[in-house]
Amino acid sequence: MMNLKLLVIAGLLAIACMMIAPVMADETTPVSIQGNPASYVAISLNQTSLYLPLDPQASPASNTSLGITATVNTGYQITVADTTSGTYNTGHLVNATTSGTLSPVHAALTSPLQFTGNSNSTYGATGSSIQDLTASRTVYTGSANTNPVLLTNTITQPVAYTDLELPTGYNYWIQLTYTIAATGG
Amino acid sequence: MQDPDRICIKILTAAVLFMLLYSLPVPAQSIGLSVSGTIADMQLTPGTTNQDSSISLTVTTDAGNWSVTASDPLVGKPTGTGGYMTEYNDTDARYIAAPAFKVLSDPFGMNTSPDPDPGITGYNGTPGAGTLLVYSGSKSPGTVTLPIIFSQAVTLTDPRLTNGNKYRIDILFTGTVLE
Repeated sequence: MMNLKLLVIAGLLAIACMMIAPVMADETTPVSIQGNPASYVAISLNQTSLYLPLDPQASPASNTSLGITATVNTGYQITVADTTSGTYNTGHLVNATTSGTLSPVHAALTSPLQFTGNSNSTYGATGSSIQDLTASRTVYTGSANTNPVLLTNTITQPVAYTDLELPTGYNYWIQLTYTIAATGG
Repeated sequence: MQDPDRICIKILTAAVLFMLLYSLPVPAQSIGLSVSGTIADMQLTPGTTNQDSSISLTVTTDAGNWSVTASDPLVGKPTGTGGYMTEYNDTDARYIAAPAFKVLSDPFGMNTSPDPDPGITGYNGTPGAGTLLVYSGSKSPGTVTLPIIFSQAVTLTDPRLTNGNKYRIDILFTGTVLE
């Protein structure tokens, strides 16, 4: 009988202890954040000038040293255009001083400069087949990449025996401008 | 020598008095949390650390010591993306499953400084896959609105999503009354 009473007392004490310990529950609230980066495309070249050995006996002259780096987070296209100041023969190398100043004596190579863009399947870039630069040309298209994409190419210049040899201090010269644009693809 | 039954009755009486005394309603200290909204289109400019302070956190508590933590609940997210904004399809209300999903390069962060009140301390950091202490209080503020600055660095090559999806992260704030 006494054991039963003690058991009841113990039970009541346990309940009392539970009642004096307030339960402190955590409170939670969620929030969501969404967004999408703005389009970004940038282009850089590994050099600002390159040399073509214009020898009619070794025509066409070519150069493969130009590296174009595209940093992109979306689809893009790259165009190249002749932006030589005072160009009178778009896409052709013309008479200029070694500093690039065009000569008033107009002379130009017979054939236009040509550009071939190499594809880079690793980075999803597609280069163009050979095309002359008598107008602005799209030379690469590609998609977003998490690494800067190095694009290689071949610049070609046919040289004819009838192309004039320029006096000392002059060179055939052309200024090309590369432009990258987001296409969103 | 006292009667054992009388001893038991005395003990029982003491127990009942104890219960009556201590089982009176003891108000439990509480904490309540709310946020002022969601961010449907956070500006994410490549090449910068973007910040958004359009949301605030309201804490209501009568506790002298309390804390607020933040965590990524990881519900429905691909493995390894805890604490990172991850590709999400709003129409289907789901994260894109592995391996096709995209995720931003840098972890999502939170800033709280400067401290809004002498008794409240804010902390900066990234919750990652764990839990980040955001605020702690050493006094009862009643109701206080606390600034939350969400922070997301975007690299130049973090892919822009072009399929209508967005990067998303869910943050769960938890308020706790400390002993």
